[in-house]
Amino acid sequence: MNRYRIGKFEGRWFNFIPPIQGGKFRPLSEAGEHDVFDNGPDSSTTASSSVSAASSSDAGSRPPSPVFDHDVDVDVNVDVSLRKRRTPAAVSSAASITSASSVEPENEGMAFLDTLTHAQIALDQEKYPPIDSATQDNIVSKYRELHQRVKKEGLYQCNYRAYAVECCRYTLLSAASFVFLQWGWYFTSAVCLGAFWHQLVFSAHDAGHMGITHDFHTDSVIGIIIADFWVVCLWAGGSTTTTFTTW
Amino acid sequence: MSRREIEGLIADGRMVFILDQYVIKADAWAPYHPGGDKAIRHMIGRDATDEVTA
Repeated sequence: MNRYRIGKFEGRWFNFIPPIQGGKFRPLSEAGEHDVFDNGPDSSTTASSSVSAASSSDAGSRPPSPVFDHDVDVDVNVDVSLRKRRTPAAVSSAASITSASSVEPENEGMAFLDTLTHAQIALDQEKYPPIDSATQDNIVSKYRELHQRVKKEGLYQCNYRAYAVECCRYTLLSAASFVFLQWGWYFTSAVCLGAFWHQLVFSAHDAGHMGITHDFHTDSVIGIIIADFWVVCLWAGGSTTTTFTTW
Repeated sequence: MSRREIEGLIADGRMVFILDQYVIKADAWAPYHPGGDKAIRHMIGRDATDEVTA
């Protein structure tokens, strides 16, 4: 990760909304009225105070920008991105619902969805802690404290004795399956074989999460060896979770 | 680096996020992220310290 460092940032970082979520960014060629290029020891405080002044005084004269109004007007940001996503659906459903009336059908569709959106936002704002930086900083520091505690108690270490027990289970089940096969007890043998494969998935899952040795290469090799018994596909493209599919 | 410079880089399409006071440009490594590049794209322009370390 250190190879990819391109600079350092002093002070507290206020998050942008990423491009994939609809955030807008100005290229360096566009000049801004509150640009601070120097990032020395007191420029970060002046930058943040000028940013908050900009949001309170200029918010009326320009459309709310997700870049500067991060802690002031979250509603608008959410609205803007949600509205972009819902517009195609709104036009098609509005067309079918209001086919009889011809009085501004698209606006009616949008207004209805806006009400739903606002209701959902209100629910979320009640459920979750406030987004202001003081609350969030508090949460972040508590989370990091928790991370240190878990690390100190050694809970991130893999318990190899438990894996030894697992291996005993595997060998027992596969041996039992083979013995029953020899005796002609086919149903029992099949049950043991199924149980053996079923238990093996547990280790393959842990290997996929880098849980056994925490090293990408070693755990992948372990996962692949287990996977020799099936065809196992590592599917990680579209989401934040890693999914194994087997067939 | 200043906030404005970072914003400019992101506007040019670079995948830039913050990790522990350092600015990281992850363009070259993103295809090799085991969880996919979309997870990184959701952290562009944000402080990803907690997401990366745990």
